[in-house]
Amino acid sequence: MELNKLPKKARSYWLAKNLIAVVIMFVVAIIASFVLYNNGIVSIIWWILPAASIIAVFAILYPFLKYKFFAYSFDKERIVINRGVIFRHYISVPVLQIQDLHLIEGPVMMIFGLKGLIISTAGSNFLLPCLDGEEAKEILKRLETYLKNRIEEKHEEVC
Amino acid sequence: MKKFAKGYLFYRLVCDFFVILFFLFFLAVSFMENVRESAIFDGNFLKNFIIVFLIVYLVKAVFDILYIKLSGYEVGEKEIKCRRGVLYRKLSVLEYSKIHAINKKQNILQRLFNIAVLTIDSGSANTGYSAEIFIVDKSDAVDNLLEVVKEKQSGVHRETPKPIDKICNNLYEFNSRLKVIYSALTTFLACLVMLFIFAGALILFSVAKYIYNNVNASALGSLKIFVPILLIILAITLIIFVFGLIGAHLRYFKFKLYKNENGITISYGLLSRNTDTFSLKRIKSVIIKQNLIQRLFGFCSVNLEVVGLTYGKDSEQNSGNNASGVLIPLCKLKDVNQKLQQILPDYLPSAPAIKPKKLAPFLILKTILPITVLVISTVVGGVLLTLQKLGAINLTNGFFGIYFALCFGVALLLTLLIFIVSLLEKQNGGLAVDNGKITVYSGGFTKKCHVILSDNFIALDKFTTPLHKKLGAYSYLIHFYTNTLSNVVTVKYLNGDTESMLYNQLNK
Repeated sequence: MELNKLPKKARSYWLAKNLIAVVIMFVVAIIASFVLYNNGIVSIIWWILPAASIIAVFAILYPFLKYKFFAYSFDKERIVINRGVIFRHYISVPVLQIQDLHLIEGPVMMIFGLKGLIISTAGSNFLLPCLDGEEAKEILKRLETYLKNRIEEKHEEVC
Repeated sequence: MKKFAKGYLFYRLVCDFFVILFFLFFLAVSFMENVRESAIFDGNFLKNFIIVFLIVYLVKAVFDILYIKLSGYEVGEKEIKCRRGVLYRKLSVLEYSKIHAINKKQNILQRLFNIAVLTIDSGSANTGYSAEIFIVDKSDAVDNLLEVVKEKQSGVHRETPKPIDKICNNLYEFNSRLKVIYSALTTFLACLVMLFIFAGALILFSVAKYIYNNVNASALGSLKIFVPILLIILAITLIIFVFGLIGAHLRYFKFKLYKNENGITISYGLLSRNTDTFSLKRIKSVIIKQNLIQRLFGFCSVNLEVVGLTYGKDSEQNSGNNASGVLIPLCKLKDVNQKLQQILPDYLPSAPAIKPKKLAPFLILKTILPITVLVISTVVGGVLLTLQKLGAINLTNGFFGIYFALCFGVALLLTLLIFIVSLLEKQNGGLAVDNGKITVYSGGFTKKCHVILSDNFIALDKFTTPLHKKLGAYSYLIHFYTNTLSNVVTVKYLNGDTESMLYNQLNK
């Protein structure tokens, strides 16, 4: 089964999310350093800002790695999702096990025109994050059709 | 609609009396500054307290009366209905075909008022922490209702419903001898954990003190505290054993296990009598568990995974407590197959055909040790510097010595612990795939054997790290159909070919 990559906008979206978090983290770090300096605790400040910088570097690099290792595919029988950078997951879900399908969209995702697809089974949820808006709807429709066909096939087998 | 029994109103009024009394008393004492004991018996305080208590109690009593008047249930042909609530009124309708678990509970106070609680659950994710149908009626009415609902659920009609113990034999006897062993094993485990923590702390303290002081007195210093702490541990062990024994007798009082065409019924408890009924179709997996001490003595416990069963605290609104998942609290490991053959023959575990790769746990030393040392060095260094600056400690002369001793000691202990767990996981791990059934062996300190029918296998997640991938070692997360609290079983360090075998089961 040929694996598909997410749109390049997904990388930009994750980067934007992390940059927002990094900015907030630096603001908190600077305020904390200021408070500690006023209370005479200077030595800790030499730990805070470098630690925040190291975290910021990881936060900026991580979206590129996450994008590189994420891929998905689906056909009439199953959905395959590969994700993870250090802990790599290769997930396989039969189409017949799908209970519901949901599209999600946060405010930052809306700016990038992205949608996430949640595939719910009886007990677990699996996420296809950051798909193109139209592509996400099309995938949802195709999965619904595959599911309907699989249920009919299974019913015929049983009968 | 039939109303709830009047005994339930009296039960709620009695409970409210004590709850409100203690709560108000606690509040009053907490908020009064500089209270003298004699002030509590002062006339003004008592008068005010009684007035507030009466007002609160009356309001609650009116609420309880309205609750009883507005609540009720109806047993229909295809479904059961239940209405309850005063301000937020709820009508629940549950078709018999959707029922997953039926549970009857009766605590000591409810027994005095001759009432019992019946809860019926469908296993819906929306009501994962409370049952959908909640009925309170007289004890014998609840028994009859339980049988009627089970009949309608199974579609099998019986002229006169009989109590389960008149129809079936008890399949498992949890006698006093087993309860003593159960308590002893639990106590032994608690004692071992305490000794391990104490030993670790003692080693760390001795090493740090030796480096800092650079004198031989550190050894004597350790011995001085060794004996009293050991005595404390022994005392705590004794207390745990005594309370554990009492708890086991109360919790598993008259433990009975029956099986009939409707399913399995488990009945137990003295202070609160629980009767849990599970349809055979709703059982999703059987788990055989062995902690470290049980393994030493050849014992185990057997649990059920059932859709719709909750594991919340024991309250009116919940359909079960921690004991509700238990099928067999304690038995010899060699007898498990024989007992499962009687109760659930489809769930007999198979011996592991696929075992984990030999060298996989050793990879942890390459990854965990450097990460642990780095993280702990940073954290410990930061903490010591802060304490030094705040004047809590003075480490100028031996700072680096104690710093490295602490970092090294903690990192070594943690890595050792993680490595031991990985070795145990490799030892205990395994997988067997038969026709229609998957048996997963997993766990480090607590060994588990999950038996899952292929029909309940939903999804497969194969995961690895770059280092493990070089070795060809993969871990498999098996997603199966159960409640939202726990639906994944992991088996670690198997080879990549296992995926095709599992995938064939997934497609059945």
